[in-house]
Amino acid sequence: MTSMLRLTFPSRPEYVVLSRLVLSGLARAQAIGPNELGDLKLAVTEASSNSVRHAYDRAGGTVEIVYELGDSHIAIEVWDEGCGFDARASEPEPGALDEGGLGLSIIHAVCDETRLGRASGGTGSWIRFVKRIGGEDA
Amino acid sequence: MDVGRQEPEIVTLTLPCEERFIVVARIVVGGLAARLDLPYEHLDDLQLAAEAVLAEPLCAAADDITVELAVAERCITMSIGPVSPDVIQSALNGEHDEGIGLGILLNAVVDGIGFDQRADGAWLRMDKRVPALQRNE
Amino acid sequence: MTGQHDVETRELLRAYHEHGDARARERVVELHLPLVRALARRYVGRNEQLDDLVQVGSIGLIKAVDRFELDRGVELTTYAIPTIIGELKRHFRDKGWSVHVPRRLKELSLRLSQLVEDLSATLGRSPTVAELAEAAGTDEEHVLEALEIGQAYSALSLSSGPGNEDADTDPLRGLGTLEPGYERSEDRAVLVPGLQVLDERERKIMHLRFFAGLTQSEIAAEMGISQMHVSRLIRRSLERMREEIDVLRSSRRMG
Repeated sequence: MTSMLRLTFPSRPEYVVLSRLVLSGLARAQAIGPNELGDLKLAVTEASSNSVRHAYDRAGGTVEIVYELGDSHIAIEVWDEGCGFDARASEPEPGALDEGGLGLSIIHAVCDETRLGRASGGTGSWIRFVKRIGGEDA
Repeated sequence: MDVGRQEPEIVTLTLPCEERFIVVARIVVGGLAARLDLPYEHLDDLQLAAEAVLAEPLCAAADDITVELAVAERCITMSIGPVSPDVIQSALNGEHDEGIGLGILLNAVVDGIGFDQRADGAWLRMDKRVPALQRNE
Repeated sequence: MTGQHDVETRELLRAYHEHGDARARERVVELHLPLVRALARRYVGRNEQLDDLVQVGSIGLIKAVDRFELDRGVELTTYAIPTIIGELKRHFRDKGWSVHVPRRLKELSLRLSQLVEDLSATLGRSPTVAELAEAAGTDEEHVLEALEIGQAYSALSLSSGPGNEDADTDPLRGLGTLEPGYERSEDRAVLVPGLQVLDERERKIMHLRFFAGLTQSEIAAEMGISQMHVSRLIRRSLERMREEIDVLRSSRRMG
């Protein structure tokens, strides 16, 4: 039994905190251990910050986050209208310790599965990460 | 938050019509209101308004409902929908209501109430003014 | 890490692991301090100094360097990130500062209740979340989370204990300040069946809030309790009324 929640906000840094607050609320709705919650908040912050970081060249733009809450897992998808984490490829020094590369590494490090993709039929990209929950004392 | 912009900035939260998720709406509403420096008791009022509306059995055909927050200069507009217009209308009027009555409750906690007809149905709109703060410094 | 950087790192790791070159170990740690710094920055809150967190994170980096196996096929950066994060998280656990732990949030909630009162008196108005966060020495996010903790209507909140505001309240305590004639009022408030399920104090608060037009802070002053407590009581009252109404409606259907 999975439940889906969807948050959208303007691509600006001051709204990134909302992506974490949804998790705070979900932790009240379902048992999520403090360690797991901390990891998820870190991951969603990295993904949201990355989406917002590359929005400067566009007026407006929206970030969309889908939270999929299962009995023993949470999956989060962060969609933006830019190039997401692929922006690294166009940096002058590919592979440099840039925020995007680090952000992706962090998400990999704290989640169980991570996938990236481009939105079909237009500009936009997404990242999906999954974490098992309920494995520690909530 | 750039409150000088002409167009309101929009945040939306779509959630299943289940009591256990009302807290998510509360905390997101709180987060946005906090960034606008809404004082605690007004922020609490806005959260109560969201909760009261979401606690009513007014989800239209779908199982989801959306809380939309529009941030404009000195005002937060919270719209919730789509809702079943008959249910929300009678809730606002306090018909068949053994309780306080949604209309009376909302009048105490928000500054304006209205209805919007959108493509996907009826939405309930509530305004909350953001007071200019006096700081004793 | 650039390609050149990775090559140098591998050479240093080889020098350390295969030849015991201590200076190589130092050098590879030094090269990766920016990584520690970048991670530590994610964890800096109001109570933390970045330098302290960099120290903590460096322990993780050193562990990763020492444990690294050259033939594993991963770069040190990839390998070290979970270890550094692990040290940072352990640091917070040891200091008891993981705010996600319910007990910590409950403590913050109790502190906030007092801070709302203190700041309201000082400022002449209800404080903002930013002002509460500053006074409590924490982040706005944690304040918002803690405000929700105070709202749970559960059997636990009814149990007495130190700092539990419900423990020292007698449901009849508010009676002495009821306006004369309240019971005879034609006001809808009295005609509302759902209100029967509330105690005298709750009924008075609901009347003041929704029929007499008082704000939460005005009610708090009137009743001699905190604003957060007024908020909690209002929400609890509404929830109990909803339950009662559901009961009334289903019994009516069956009858």
